[in-house]
Amino acid sequence: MLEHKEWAESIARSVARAWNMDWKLDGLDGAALEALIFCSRRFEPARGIPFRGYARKRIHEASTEAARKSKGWRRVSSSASKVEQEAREISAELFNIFPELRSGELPLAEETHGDAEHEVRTAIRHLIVGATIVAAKQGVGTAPPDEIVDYKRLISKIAMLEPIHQTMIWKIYWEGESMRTVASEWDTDELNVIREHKVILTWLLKSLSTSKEIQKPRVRPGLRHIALKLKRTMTEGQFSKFVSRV
Amino acid sequence: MTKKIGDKKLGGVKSTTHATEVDTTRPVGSVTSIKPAGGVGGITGPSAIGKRRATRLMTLEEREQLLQMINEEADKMFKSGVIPPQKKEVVAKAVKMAIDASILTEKETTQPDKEKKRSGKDTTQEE
Repeated sequence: MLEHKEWAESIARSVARAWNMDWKLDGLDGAALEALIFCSRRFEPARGIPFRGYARKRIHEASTEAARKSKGWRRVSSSASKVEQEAREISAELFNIFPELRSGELPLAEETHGDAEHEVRTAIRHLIVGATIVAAKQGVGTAPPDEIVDYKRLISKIAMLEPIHQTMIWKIYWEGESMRTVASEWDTDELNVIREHKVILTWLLKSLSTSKEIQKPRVRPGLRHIALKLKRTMTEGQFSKFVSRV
Repeated sequence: MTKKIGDKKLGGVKSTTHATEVDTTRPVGSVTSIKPAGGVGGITGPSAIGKRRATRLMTLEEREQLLQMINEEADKMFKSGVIPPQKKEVVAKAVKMAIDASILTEKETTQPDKEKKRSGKDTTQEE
């Protein structure tokens, strides 16, 4: 465990650096070490996964949780700007929407086509669209009227999606469910949810940047049975309802 | 004329002597040559299909470049109307924070799990 101590501390420091916090004063160091101890006890070498690959997500999660509970997180409302505070909240949610980030990876597409820079930029665009949806969720209800109009545009686009896609966005962004939870609720592979989420973000990106109507994404075969079930039980998606109410 | 099963009764095996006569083995000479791969239709070339990606960690060296890319992409998306004007700064900052918090403060050059396996030590017992 000692050989991984510095590495675990480095994870805590990177979280503190990004959120402009003090990794020791705000208790990120202790949380990271506790998570390291927990992981070293539960680690099963027989599974063939390298220890760091196994432990990194958990240590990162422990560090971010400690940061969010710390005085430093609350302190931001008085000392730092409103933008900084809002950005922190959104970025904290991005870790649940793009869990690859906790492992130090960009949420790249599953398959590679050879153009590395294009793939990195696509991942960044997905992150930006994801962050925009989180901002919309946080802003609806509290934002001034001019901002509400912008959110309405985004939400209207989401409302055009199939009910299953609307439900997916609703569960992940509005209810804060992880993709794994959504997948297990739907009794399907997590990869189906992760890949479908990326398809939806790509469509949103295209759809928002043009006035033309873009054909909405089809439901992938692995989710069709859920889509059919939802169509039978739901008359309209959560966002469609929302748009018709506003 | 076809014989009916009932025409002649089977009276048992008379002798096994015929089984001893094994024909001489002959070399197999009629194997068709292997057709060139080009003749196989329907398989797409590697450039047309995506290859499965190996996972790749973001590094401290590319941090600045990634943060710069976020600015560039946010600008583009703001111009094309994807990001609401009031939210451009917050959204870009949030993505920068998320990426920055995922890049370790130190170089990830040491991977004890791999290094020790290479040197023959059993790392698994230490965990």
